[in-house]
Amino acid sequence: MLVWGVFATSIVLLGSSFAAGQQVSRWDVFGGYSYLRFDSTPLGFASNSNLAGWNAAVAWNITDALSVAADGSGHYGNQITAYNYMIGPQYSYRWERSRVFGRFLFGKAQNNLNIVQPTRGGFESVGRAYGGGAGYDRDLNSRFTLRAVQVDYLRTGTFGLAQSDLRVSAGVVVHFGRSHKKRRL
Amino acid sequence: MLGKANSLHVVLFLLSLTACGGGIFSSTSSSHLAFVSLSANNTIAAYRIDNSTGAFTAITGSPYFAGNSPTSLLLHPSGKYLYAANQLGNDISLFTVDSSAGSITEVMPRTPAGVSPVSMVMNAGGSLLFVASAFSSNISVYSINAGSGALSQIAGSPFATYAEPGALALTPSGNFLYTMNSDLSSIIGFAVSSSGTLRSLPPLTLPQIQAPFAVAVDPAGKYLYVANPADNALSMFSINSSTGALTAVPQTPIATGTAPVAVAVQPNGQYAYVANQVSNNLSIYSIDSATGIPTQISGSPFSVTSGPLFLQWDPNGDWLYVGGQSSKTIVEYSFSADGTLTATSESTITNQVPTSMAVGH
Repeated sequence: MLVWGVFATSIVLLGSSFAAGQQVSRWDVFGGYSYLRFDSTPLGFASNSNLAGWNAAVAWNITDALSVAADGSGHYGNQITAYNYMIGPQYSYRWERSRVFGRFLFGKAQNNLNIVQPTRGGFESVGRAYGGGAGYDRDLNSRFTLRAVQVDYLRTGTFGLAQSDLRVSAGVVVHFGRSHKKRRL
Repeated sequence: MLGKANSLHVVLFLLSLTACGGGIFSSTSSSHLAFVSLSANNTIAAYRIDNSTGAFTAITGSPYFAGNSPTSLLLHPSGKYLYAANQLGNDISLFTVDSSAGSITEVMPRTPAGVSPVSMVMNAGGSLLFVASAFSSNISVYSINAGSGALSQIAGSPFATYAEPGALALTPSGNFLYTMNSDLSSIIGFAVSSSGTLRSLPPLTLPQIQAPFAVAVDPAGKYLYVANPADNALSMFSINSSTGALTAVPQTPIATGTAPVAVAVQPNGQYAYVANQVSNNLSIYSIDSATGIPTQISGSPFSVTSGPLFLQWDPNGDWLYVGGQSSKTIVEYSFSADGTLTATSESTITNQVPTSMAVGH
């Protein structure tokens, strides 16, 4: 409860204090490094797994605040490969050269386990995925923005089991097409 | 630039999200692996069991294909290798154990054994494996490669026994090996050399026992326990640590339930548990540390899952796993210091008759 209280308070405070004055692009394309803390204990692993990989996303900015984000990621470990493909609404708060955003995503997860058996090379399962997250962007120039941090909590259902994963990403956002002006609050 | 207030808000905002998934970062409690042979469909089921809660988690991909009728399982002390005696395949399977994922992978080819290998024991150091083969009436002894787990039959192996040896028990010192012959009502002992060669000890005829079936040695190596389903009795013998000779413990045999088919001593050595297959319960005895005399405790017999076939302690002695032949389940019972058991909510349905269980550390 305390955590969610802090979360809600932060949203309110952010919304009440940010202001902006620059144009907003129509499309944002993100790509970067990503870390996934994969919840592998429900699959019988001794502990959760640390996976490294990539995260990419395309956001269509409907307004300066509201976007639709399509997100994909791939993470790799010695025995586990995890892919997530999701889409969902994203809300942004912009001020000066900065932006924070929060979103809800849903889609599919594909997990592969490299457990080699005489009759097969491993195990694969595709299941539903949903989650939410937030991030902080800092403009470098009119074309490029640094995504300093993006944190997503993902719930996936593969192998008939539920997993709770945490994904942390960082990288660069490239802007295409300008259509909106940042609103002033 | 981002103002101080806004910076604080951003940090709070992102930290709150991180905290939402905080459980993911928290370290998991320790666990141990367990493997269950399902002879009827030639597979081995694998589970991870939480040391704190006792909860079972099936390993992805389990059950795994094994040899022809894996009847007896043994886990190497290192936890890296699992061995299965394939009763109809007349061979031994070696599996490597992935301690992280919990999965097993068979290493081919299989190692030939005698005809109908039915039971196995390993010395504490994990350097020697002993396999009793019922129809060839012998005991095969293998040295174990510590690096690969591979088996190599030692010189002189297999060693002949009386007809149809059954269960095996090895003293913790590794100096004496015991098996039994149901038809002759005999306990057969061997002195074991450091290289694994066996030298027969004089057989002990048990006039009070018609058909000994299960055998176990306590963790201190002081007593040998023998269950006899034909007489519904438990016999006990003190073991001479120098010669391996057996001497009957006073006031034994002692009555059990109906058809005792398995016996297991709690790792602290204070209590012995006997699975009574027909009466669906366990007889529990406290063991006098000085004399070895068993006394049935209050609460014994203790009702368990239907058709108990084998007993297996967890490495810490906190739980006793009971394999149910009729129920086709592994049921977990928690141990109390007074020897009594309490049924837990943890169990796993195997869908096939579980024939043996190996538990790691």
